[in-house]
Amino acid sequence: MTEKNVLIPEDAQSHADSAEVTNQTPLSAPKEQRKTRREVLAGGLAALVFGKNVYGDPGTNSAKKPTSLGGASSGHSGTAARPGIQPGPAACIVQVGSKSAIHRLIDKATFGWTSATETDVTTMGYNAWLNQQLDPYSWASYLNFESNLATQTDPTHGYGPYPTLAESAGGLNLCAGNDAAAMFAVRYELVRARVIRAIYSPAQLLERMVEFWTDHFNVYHQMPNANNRYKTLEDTHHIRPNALGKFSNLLKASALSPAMLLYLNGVENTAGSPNENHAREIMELHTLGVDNGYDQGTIVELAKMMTGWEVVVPNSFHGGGANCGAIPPFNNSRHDDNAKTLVFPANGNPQTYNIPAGLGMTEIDVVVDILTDPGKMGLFTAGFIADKMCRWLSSYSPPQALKTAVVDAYVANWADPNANEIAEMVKVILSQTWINCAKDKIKRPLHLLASTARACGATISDPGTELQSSRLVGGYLSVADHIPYNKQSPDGYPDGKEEWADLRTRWEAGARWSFNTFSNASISTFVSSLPTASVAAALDALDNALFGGFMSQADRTTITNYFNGVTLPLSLTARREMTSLVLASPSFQCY
Amino acid sequence: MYNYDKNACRDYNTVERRMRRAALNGDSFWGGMTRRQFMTRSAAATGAAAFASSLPMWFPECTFAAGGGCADHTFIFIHLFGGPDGLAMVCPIGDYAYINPIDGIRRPGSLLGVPLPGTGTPEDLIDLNDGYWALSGGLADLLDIWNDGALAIATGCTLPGQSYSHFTAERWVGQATPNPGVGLGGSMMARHLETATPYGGPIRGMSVASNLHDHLLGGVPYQAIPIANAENFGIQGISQSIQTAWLNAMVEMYGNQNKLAAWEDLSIVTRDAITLLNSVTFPPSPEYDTSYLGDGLRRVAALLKAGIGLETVTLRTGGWDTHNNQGSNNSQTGQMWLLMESLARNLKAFWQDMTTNGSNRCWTIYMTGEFGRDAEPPMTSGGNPVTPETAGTDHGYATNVYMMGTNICGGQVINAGLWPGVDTLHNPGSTVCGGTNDVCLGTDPRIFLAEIFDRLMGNQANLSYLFPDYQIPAPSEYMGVVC
Repeated sequence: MTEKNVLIPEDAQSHADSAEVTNQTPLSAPKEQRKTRREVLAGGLAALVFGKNVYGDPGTNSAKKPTSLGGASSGHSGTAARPGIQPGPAACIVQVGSKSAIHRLIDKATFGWTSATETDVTTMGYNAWLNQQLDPYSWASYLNFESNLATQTDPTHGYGPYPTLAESAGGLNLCAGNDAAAMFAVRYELVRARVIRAIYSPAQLLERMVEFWTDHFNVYHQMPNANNRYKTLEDTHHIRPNALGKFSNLLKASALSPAMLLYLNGVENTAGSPNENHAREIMELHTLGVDNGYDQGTIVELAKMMTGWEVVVPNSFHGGGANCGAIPPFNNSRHDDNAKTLVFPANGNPQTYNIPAGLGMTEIDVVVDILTDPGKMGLFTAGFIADKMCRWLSSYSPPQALKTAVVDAYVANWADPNANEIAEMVKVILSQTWINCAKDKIKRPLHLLASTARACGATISDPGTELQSSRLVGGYLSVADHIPYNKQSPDGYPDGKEEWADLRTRWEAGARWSFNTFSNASISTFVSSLPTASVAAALDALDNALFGGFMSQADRTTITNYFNGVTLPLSLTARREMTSLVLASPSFQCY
Repeated sequence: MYNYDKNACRDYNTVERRMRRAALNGDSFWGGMTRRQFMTRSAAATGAAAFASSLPMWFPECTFAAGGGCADHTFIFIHLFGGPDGLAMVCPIGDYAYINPIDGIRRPGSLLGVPLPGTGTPEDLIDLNDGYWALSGGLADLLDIWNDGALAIATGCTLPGQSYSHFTAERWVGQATPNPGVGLGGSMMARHLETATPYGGPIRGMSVASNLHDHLLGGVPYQAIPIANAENFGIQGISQSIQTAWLNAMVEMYGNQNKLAAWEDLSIVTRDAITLLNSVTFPPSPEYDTSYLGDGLRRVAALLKAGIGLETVTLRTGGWDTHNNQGSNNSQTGQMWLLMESLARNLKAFWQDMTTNGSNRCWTIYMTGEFGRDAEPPMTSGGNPVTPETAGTDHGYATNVYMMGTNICGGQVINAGLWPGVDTLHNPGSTVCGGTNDVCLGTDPRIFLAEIFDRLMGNQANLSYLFPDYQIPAPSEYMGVVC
């Protein structure tokens, strides 16, 4: 086993310095015995791709040559192609007659294809549109949308405003109005906004990534005795600003979010009385992936490193009381400030970090650094989140070459404070080079709801709550078990196909939209405008609006036969019936 | 549409109860045999005929399947998600390495422990009559089932493999193997449905949920569906006049797609379930509470009584990840206490519902969690001594399995001789269980599942497929959980 002395906090903040930290030898070793970050990373990439030893054999380090970073050939010295792995375009062959690259991009980057979005992308150009989506934080359309959401009733639809979305990060209102009714109102504003943003926000890719990270760093909204504002603050100030930003920032923001500290018992994790929950999940779910490079011993030590963090008003659900705002977020007397030895078995290539005593509140930075630095455990993290991100944005079985390219993007950008590695990773997946690897996935319930609303131009004055079975959240998302922020366990809502196979709720969603049985949400204008002259004409209109002409021929045949002998012109009821069949069809369940 | 004997097991409950109670009382109801002899004989590989011939003349109004079980036995898996603290639920009061016999404080040192029997508080443990095991007061409602001989408890149970991840461990429970390398994918219950002879009902398996639980996922063909609320399983918005044609169109479209193979079967089951459940009556019952588990078990009871040929059911109820405020000995506010009370109340309600309301169905509830918890809660919280309200426990290893039903040989801690104890308490300095103060593995629960799926679910021929990488015991080696 090799050991490393952990960087002191000042050094930890200096990426330039840390770039010279070795994986195999202490800093005190002669420089010629150390590997540079570049060498380490390259070796790590190779291991990731080829299953080799990430950290190599100490005795052979000096024989390794530096290799290039970035691009599909990183991890290999020279320019020879990887055995068995083809570069992107060749890995995913486009069938004649299949969707265009722009159509696929819209499928994956938004909550539902629409012809208007296709026009936008075509007008702007593929890359320009994607770049705008990847950097929404200074985009006026997005900022206006967010501002309006918090401050005014939408003049077109009638939803909003949701003022708690605009509360400051300091949570000045945390101490006021914390009775049960106020707390429910806070929670429901965030839930309603989740639905509205998925449908109407111009920053669609950001919304897709907010949903991704919300599940990745899942915090159950309805924790007992917790101030519901914490979840809103987390969404507004921790998840959204970092969803296309730097992963290390996102990880730290999540780890110190009051909502997370309460949810995974960080507030109970104190010196002499460690609570392992947060430490376990930060490795299993947030960074390394389950059983990937750590063990129970790592969890115990990491838990000690994360002690001492508190929450300003943990129980303000029942009223803030005299202590409201008085408790500091970090309490050194509850922090285990002793020296520690953190050992990662690292799948047979152990890494040991000697954590010095006295780091205090900066010890969390060391945790984030070790878990995200590609020269430490960050390659495990990069592999884990790259795989998950590829599944989210591309297909259930992304090619290894794509995953490797996404890991490369993480590695190439992690150390640069001005580069956003998350945006860079997303950019690879959705680039024209790789977009043809995107395959059909099954829409999760919120996605199905939003894509229906987007394609059919729905008018929504209120998505409602889970207590209102006539509205969208209570009438569909609740019965489909996909209420926003409502996954009780920390793994978040799953992103698989079998897990979302409840056909009844999908069929019912299509039927309720079509027959206009949701209140405060309607697609009647769309249904009424469908052609009446023939079944084929109406079906063409549906196909064009919902699929851009890519509805499956089998579904079209079934629906055409269903209306064999129908009276023409098509009645409104017949058009509702046809719409319900299309919305419930297998074609529309996928994206 | 389906074909099975609705008269199977008539009076079985009554008869079985009498037989079992007689056995537990040591009387001669068994025709001179001891209970163990009777069980051994009935389990012997002499087939159903020999078993049936050993029964009184009036007994076989209950028909037996080839494997010796009821013809229409329903297996109900209840998963207590989060890692339930088995030590708090069924406490080894006779294990002096764990319990201080003088003051009952759970060792080492904390106040998380619970009062011993007879201390005079509502939270007293309840001695299960052997002086060694005691039930939490929060589970007092289980006593009737226990005394009726229909609830068996197994302590120190877990799959070998030891993961402290909820999600990995739960997947293992669903697959009935800790070894993903066996390559089967899917769940044990899905593999059962794949290989067992169907009862003939349209719904072979169901998860009481909006999406299938891990325990029923996978398997080809796919014959289980999620039914979150069986009382309301229609298509709102579609009028009765078009429902049949509309659903048939769905089945046709989902049969013709190539996006997800399972959808074809799922669409058929969904269509047929919509039609069928519309005809089932779900009477209210004040005995259940209105929690997920209460509503779920009440509806499952109605489905069983309606005789729709249901083979497997899963329920999954969370809240057992008690990292803080466990409060397993606080009947006022303890979160685990309140969970246990609700759990026991609803199991008792189900038991009464199924046994006293004229049901003739045969069923088994198998209940466990993905792992247990460690024995020692934090000694202090922020420098202050813990109280029962604030103390919690971390993830541990082994936990309990609870088995109840018409054919369960209950009223006993079934593996009492195999209690492995708490790691470091019994073996100072040991870490054989991998974590400090964990309950060790004493019994691999697959021995119970193998017996149940052999003798009650009629799938003896495929046990090695259901339980890969597990040495299937000979029937003579079964632990006798099935009567």
